Amino acid sequence: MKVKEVNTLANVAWSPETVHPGLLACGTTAKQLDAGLTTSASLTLYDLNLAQTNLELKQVASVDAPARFHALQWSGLGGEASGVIYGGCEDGGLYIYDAAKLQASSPNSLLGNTLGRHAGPIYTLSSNHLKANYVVCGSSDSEVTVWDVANLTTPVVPLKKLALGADVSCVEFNRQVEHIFSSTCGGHAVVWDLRKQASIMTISDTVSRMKSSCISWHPSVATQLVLASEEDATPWAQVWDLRYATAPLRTMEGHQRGILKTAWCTADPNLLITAAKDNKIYIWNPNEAQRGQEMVGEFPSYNQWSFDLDWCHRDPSLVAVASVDGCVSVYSLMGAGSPPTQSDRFSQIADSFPGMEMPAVVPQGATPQPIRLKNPPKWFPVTAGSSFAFGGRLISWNSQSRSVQVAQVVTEQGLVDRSSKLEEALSQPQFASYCQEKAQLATHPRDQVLWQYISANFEASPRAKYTELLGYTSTQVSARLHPQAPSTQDMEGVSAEVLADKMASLGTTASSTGSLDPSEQFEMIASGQSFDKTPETETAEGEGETDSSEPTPVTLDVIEEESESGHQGLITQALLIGDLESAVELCLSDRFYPHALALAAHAGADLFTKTRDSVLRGVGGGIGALVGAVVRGDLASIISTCKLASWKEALTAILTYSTDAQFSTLAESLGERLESQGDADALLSAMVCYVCAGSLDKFVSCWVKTNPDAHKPSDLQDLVEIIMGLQRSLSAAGRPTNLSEGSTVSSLLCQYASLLAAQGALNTAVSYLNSATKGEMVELRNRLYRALGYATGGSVPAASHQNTASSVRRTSTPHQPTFSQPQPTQFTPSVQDQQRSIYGEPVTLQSPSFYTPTAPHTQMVPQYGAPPAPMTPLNPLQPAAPAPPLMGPPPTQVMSGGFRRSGGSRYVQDPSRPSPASMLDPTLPAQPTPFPPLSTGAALNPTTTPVPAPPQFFTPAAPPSATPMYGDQQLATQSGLPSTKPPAAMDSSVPRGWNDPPPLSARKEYGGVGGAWFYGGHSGDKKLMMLKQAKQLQQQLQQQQSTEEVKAPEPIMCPVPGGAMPEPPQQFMGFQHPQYGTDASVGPTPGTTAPAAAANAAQPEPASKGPLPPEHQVIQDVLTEVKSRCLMVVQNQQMKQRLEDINTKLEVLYDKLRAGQLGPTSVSGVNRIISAVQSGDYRSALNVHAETIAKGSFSELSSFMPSLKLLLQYCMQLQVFLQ
Amino acid sequence: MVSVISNVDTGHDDMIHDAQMDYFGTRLATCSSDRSIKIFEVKGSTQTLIADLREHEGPVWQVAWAHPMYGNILASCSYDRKVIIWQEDGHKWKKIHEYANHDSSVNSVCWAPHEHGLVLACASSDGSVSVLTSTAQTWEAKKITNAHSIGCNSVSWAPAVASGSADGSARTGPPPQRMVTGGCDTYVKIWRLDSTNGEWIEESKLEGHSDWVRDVAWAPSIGLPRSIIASCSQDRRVIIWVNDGVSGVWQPRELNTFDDVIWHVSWSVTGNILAVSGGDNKVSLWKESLEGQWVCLSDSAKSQQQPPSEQRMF
Repeated sequence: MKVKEVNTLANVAWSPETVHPGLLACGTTAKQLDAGLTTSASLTLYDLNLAQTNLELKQVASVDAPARFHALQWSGLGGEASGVIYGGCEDGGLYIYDAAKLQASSPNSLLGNTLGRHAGPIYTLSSNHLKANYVVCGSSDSEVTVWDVANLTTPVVPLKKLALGADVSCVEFNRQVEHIFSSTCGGHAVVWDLRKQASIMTISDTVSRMKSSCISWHPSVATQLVLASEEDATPWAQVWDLRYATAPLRTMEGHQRGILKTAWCTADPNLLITAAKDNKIYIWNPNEAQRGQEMVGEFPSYNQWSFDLDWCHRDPSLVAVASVDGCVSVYSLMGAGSPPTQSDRFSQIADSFPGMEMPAVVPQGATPQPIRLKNPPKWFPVTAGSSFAFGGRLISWNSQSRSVQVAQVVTEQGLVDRSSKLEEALSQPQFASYCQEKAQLATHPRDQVLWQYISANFEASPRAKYTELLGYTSTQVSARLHPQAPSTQDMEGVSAEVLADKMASLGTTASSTGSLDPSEQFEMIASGQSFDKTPETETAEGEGETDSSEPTPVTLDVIEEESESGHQGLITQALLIGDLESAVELCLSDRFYPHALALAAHAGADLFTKTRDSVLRGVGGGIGALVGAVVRGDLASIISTCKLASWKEALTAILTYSTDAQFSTLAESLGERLESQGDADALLSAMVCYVCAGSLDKFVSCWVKTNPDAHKPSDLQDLVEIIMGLQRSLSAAGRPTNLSEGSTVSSLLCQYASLLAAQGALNTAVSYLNSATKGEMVELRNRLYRALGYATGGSVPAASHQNTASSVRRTSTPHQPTFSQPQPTQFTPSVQDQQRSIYGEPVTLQSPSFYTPTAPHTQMVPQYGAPPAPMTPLNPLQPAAPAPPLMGPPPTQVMSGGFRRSGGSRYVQDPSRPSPASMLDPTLPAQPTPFPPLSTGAALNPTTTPVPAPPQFFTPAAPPSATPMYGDQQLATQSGLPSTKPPAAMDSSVPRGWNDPPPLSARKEYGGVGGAWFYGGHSGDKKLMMLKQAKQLQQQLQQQQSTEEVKAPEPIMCPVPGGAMPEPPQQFMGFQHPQYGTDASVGPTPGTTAPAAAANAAQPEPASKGPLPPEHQVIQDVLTEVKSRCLMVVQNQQMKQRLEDINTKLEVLYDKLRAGQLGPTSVSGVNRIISAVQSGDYRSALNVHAETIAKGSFSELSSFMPSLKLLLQYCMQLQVFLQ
Repeated sequence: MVSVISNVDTGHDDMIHDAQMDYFGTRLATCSSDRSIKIFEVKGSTQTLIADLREHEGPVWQVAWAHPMYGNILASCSYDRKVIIWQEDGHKWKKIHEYANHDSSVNSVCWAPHEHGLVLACASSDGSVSVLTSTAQTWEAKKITNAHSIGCNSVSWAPAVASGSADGSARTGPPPQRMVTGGCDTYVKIWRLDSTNGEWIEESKLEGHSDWVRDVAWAPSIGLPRSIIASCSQDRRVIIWVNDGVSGVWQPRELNTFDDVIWHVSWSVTGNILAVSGGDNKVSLWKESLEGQWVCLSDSAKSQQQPPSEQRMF
């Protein structure tokens, strides 16, 4: 196994370490004659040719040499890169070549020679390792000469000649001490000291009488050397130390015949090569103390003597070997290489001796083995290093220690700081201050603007704040308007001045007070005339502002007179004959708009509408269009036609006139228009629109447009801050958002999370990935979970409870129904959550038909009978429906949806968990489980446990208070409540379609309250809104149905809300108009739950839960009990909240117990926890908990164990004990 | 910027040659000249020895964790010419495969991206690279003989999502499997699996180092079309090779010439930081600036004034 080979009978010398690539010099040897007995000689340089994986060496240069070589050495003279090549020739000359010139095939590469100054051929030479210009030559007649290359006329020092009379077989300079060298001559090894110009020592083994012929100095120990003998009787190599020169330190025995050459590796003193006449080349460890263990390796044998060896200086794993068969080979000590190709060498002889059996190149029956050193050479191992690990960890180790260091690398300290600040802010209830601070500290005007809008959501009335930010505070505008009210001219003038430059297409009346009337006169006429006939249109379609200005009937006569005294006789005639339509037409054609309008108002709705439109067309200009849009409720046209320069005004207009549902759409489409315009200002404006609209996705994609390379961590941080801020603020304003999967937002958040993870902020990173359901996000999240030590086995997606979590909820993803995910930052509510939060009500699943007076549901009473105080205020983002089939929310439980807390956050009843009230209420009839079988039809059978509760569930005992969002007038709910549950529906056993008109009595009730509904919006608005909401409701139902995988009957899918009908969807509208708080009064009526309930009624009920197996009943009993006790003790609302969450999770445990899904380990673990809880020893309960988690199956335990732990911690913290 | 979290006392009786965290960063595998492999569970600043594997008959050079989707699997390679694949079974680690088909020291093992399956590349001093593929029953081995003529020191896989195709053409279907090797012959070589015949083809031979290439590391993909490889050498240099993914040409950029031989280059998980370490026991961290320059983040490699203890810790 050779690395390279070349067919030449030559001595070898490697280039110095400085030469790259390494070169091999081969000088025709004088030791053997080739087949042609040629005495011509050459010096050839070969490139190792490592680029080729074949055996070929590449010839670089070659010169004819004056004589054949006995010795060859390449020395890195004087630091010159290429150095010089010394050749000791048979003609008795030392020839010195310039390697660089030789390499370049330059003609005068020969620097000099010492021809004629030696006693005979130069058999051996050695250059000084420390002073490269010194070279020592050994010749015949025991002559040793030291030359300085710079001066070849006389030797450096005259050395006393030994009286041995033999050829000098070997000389070598000491490697450590520059003035020491040794020589072998006639079997004696002599050590010379150049300073003393004499030999200082002769080494001879008096015991074995080994005759030395080779010398190698120890590479690093100055006093040690190896002597070897070529005598077959003493085929040894001996290690000597000059300090103890009476006997060798050790003798390396192994060769069968005399050693021809030794070479000690300079890079590793534990390696010495000897080549002997037994055709072997052995590798020894001369420092091996244990006798018999010195031999550490063997070169592959090719049945030839090798007479010259040289270690490669540049790569100590390579050794060049010259053999007498005319082959120079390069071997690798590390074992690389290919089988040789020289098999045809003997075939020449075989040709000449036909029939003769020739010896094989390789010993019979053995394939050449690569060199296998017992131990790796010193230079080979890598003893220090570093590697990165997940989470920005850097692992490092080195040769100085047996420890491995684990370090955290943080390259983006700023990012980590900002992110932890953000996280902290998000965990605080008061996020508004963070936003304000952001707005104040923002360096970029863009950020400042955006943060202002974001923090607006924390205001009591976000839309008013938006308006203010847009530059239109209602008070300011009113102040500007009212003093000038008497003069229409002035008023219009002023407004025009203020706005004219911006509002070419909008007009001036965009102020929110609505007191700005197009015509005072018109108003007077209209109101004057409407004394006799109150036109429906006035209240139904007229703008709210008509109410705010007092009519001045005094002027009526004047106007009548004026018109009579006018020259339009025809009008008068028409009027006199009562042909109002013609009169109006005449008025219009004469541009007597006020008159036309007055008359039309008098004539009736149809004519009025027609006239109004004609007037507005006639008036034209900006104001006309705006007024038209306002009166027709056609806000979309404002948005789609306004000049983009006046986007602020357009936005103000829709802020003022649109409903919440409309508003988002309108603001969004305005944003889209702006975004499509594309310049920087427009994009910022678009972003403001998106912020107002709450369109996170659009916002983010717009942001990405403004920062095309959001690769900079700080930019990404900016964005994430805004996203989280916006999300938080929207949910504060009751408009939670949902980030869709695969959107720009989620991919950016994923990017952000991985950035955080790389900085070691694993906890924070994971919080941005909780909603992930696919691909790399899930992978990253699972990786983070595991990195945080949450999971115990396999590569299963992990999950656990996190202390930072403000709530723990089930994911709504059907694929992972058993995993709970920590949701520390209220990030991305589920679809159901969103719907519930938006609409305030959980989608109530109860059909009124279930409420037969004789079969009230047992659970209903405590729920509604309990005082509202213990109701935990849930965060608006509080999760709602888990996958129904699993949890089987009993539909009758959800009727409590209408409860509202005066704290402003709506209580969203989660149908999946029992009401806290029911858990606490002492009047609660003993229930075997919190979920009695009640959802099936059987549960409604009169024969089921009758409860002495009265049939009316909405008793005033539990007054659902309207939220303060609707202003002070928390009225009508008490009286309205009982009636909002249509009695007909309650009595009827027939399920109602959700869009069936309620019974008449209900309508009356609505009528009573209903006045408040007409809060000043236009019927157009309202219709649009109703349609929209009906559509939303429909979608909602569809979603719900698809979630439950049940096809609902068709009628349910066809909402036909009538204009005058008190449509059920109204319940969704109420709170969406907070800015109308002062006039609008009615809160949603909790009873109007018919639609969804009916929808649900048509679906099969989820299966009910059976009781726990008796042996596990104790688990539930104990846990429920401690939890209730905790609830009684705890003051902190957040903790109560968490306790509720815990309960949900524990349901999973109960479910698993019921289904027998828990393995014996888990069950016994849980039981041990329970018994520890019973004995009040929570510490050991926690220990058992940890133990169980460690041993148990992750998928079994993940869903409830974190909650169980939290419960235990609470119990411990609150000092709640069962005894 | 770099703060020590913990020092894991490995209890090895000889030099440590490699230490690798698993995919999640919770388990640490170390290997040593004492022929053993140790696995620690690392939590915060505490660690527990969970396995001490002694099957190798020579110094163990490297360990590598497989992607967890295949279970808890560790590969090790040793001077004893063997590659051993270990698997955790319950709480016990056992040898599931031994590959002994190299003629010399096996210096490097690297698992392919999990997308390619459970595939391990092994680089040996005998100059060859073996690719072991787990099949249902056994492990199939494919060998690139003479990948580097005087020995191969390191192997690293291209990320599965990387583009940087040499032909620059738009591809359909999965990107071809690639790996990079570094050898004693001073070359860095890129290999591509020919999907038609299942053979590994030498795609590029990168010339830049002047001594043994000790380590090569293909950077994780950061979503850009370009591919990056870092290589380090006995010549005290680190070279960053960049393929823009269009021209197919690997452009070298010398990161730095260090004071000592460089033995290891390691990319951070997100692929933007390179840790460089070598014979002087120092670690330096490097990052590409926005201008495309590689800058040293921790300058312990340059600063000589630091007290030795500090140097040891960076």
